[in-house]
Amino acid sequence: MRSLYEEHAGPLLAFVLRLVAGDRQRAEDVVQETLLRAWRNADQLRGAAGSVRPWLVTVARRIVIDNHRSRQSRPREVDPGPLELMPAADEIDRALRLMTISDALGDLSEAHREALIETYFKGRTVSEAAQALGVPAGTVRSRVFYALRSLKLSLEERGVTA
Amino acid sequence: MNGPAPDHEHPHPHRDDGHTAVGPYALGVLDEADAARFEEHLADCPRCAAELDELMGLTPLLAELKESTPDPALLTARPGPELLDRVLDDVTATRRAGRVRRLCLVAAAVALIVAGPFAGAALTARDVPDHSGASAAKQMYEEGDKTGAVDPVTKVDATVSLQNKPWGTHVALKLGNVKGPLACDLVAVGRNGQEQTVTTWAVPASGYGLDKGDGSPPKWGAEPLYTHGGAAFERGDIARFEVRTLDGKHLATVKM
Repeated sequence: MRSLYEEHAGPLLAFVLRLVAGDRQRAEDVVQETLLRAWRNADQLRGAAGSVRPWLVTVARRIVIDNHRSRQSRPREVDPGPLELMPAADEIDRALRLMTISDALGDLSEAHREALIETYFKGRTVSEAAQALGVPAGTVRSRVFYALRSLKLSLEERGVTA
Repeated sequence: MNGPAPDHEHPHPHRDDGHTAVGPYALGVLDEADAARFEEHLADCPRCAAELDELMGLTPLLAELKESTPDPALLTARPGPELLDRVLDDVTATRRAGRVRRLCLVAAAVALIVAGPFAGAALTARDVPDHSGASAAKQMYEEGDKTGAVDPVTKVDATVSLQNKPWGTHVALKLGNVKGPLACDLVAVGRNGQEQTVTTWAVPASGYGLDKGDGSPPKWGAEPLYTHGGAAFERGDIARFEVRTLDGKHLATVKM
C-alpha cells in the first residue's frame, strides 16, 4: 500500500482536485477510497500490463460521479460539475498525460519548479516574478531555462516526447 | 546536449550571456523589452534557434496543464501525511474484516497454482508470503484433524482436515484419484440440512492423485490436490462434506 501511495497519491490527488473544483477534503476522501480499492485488487492490477494509472483514474472518476449523485439527491446542496457529459476515454487519456507532466514537474528541484510556477503558471513575466521572489531577473530567467531542459528530459524518460 | 548554456546553474550571475532567455521566451514570459532583445540575439545564434525549436515542443503540454489547473497552488498539491495514515488504517481494518473472504481467495489461488504452473503463474500467492501456494494448503492439511473416505462408485479419494476457528471451521482438502477436466466444489452440509460452499476448483485433464503405485515415474497428475477454505458452521454442526462437480454430479462424501 505504501508503494502504491508513494507512486500515485500525489498525481491522483491533483487529478481529483480538478474534478471537484479544488475541494481538498473531498479530493482526499476520493483518493483514499480509490487507493483502498486498488489495494484490494492488487493481484489483478499487477497482472495487467503497464501502469495502474488508467485504472486509478477510471475508478476515481467513478467515485466522484457517484458522490456527486448522492449529493444531488439531497435537495439543499448545489453542486456544479457536469462530469457525466465529458467523454470518459478522452478525459482519461488527458488525465494520464497531465499526471505525467505533474510527475515531471515533481522531479524538478524546488527552485526550478518555483521559477516555472511563479512565471508561466501565475501568468507573470520574469521581471514580475523576480520581484515577487526577491531574486535577480537573470536568476529567474536561467532557472526557467534549466527547468524546461530538465522537464523535457524527464518527460522523454517517461515516454512523452515533446 | 548541445545546449547554449553551461551545465551548472548560473556560475557567473554577472555574466549572463543571454542564451538562457530562450527558456522564458519559449513560454512567453519575457517582458517586451527583454523579448525584443532576445529576438535580436536569436537572429545571430543558431544554438538558441535549435534550442527554441526543441523547447517549443513542451509548450502545448504545459499549456494543457495550466489550463486545467486554474489555481497554481494545486500544481504542487501533495497529500498530507494524515492521508497515508488513513489509507493504512483502511488496510488494517480490511485485513481484519476480510480474513474469511481472503482465506477463500487464497484457496482459489492455491487451487489455480496446483492446477497448473502456467494457469497459476500470474498469481504469486502474495497473501501467503511464507509458503509456496501448494505447500500452504498442504501444511494446513497436515495440521488439522483428518477424516477420509473413498467413494464406492467413483473411487474418488477425499480427506478433509479440520480446525476450529473463532469464525467457524477451517477445512483443508486432499483429493486423489480424480480425472479431469472437471470443475468441482466442496460443500459442508450441516446437521440442520443447510449447505455452505467451502471452496471451488478445477481439475485439469491430467487429473490428480492418479499414481497407481506401480513404480512408473511420477508425472503430472500423480500428486493429489491440496486446497482449503472455510465454513461458518461450528465443527460439531457439520454432518458431512460432499465433493461435487459444479453441475451437481456427486464425486465423494466424507461423513463426520
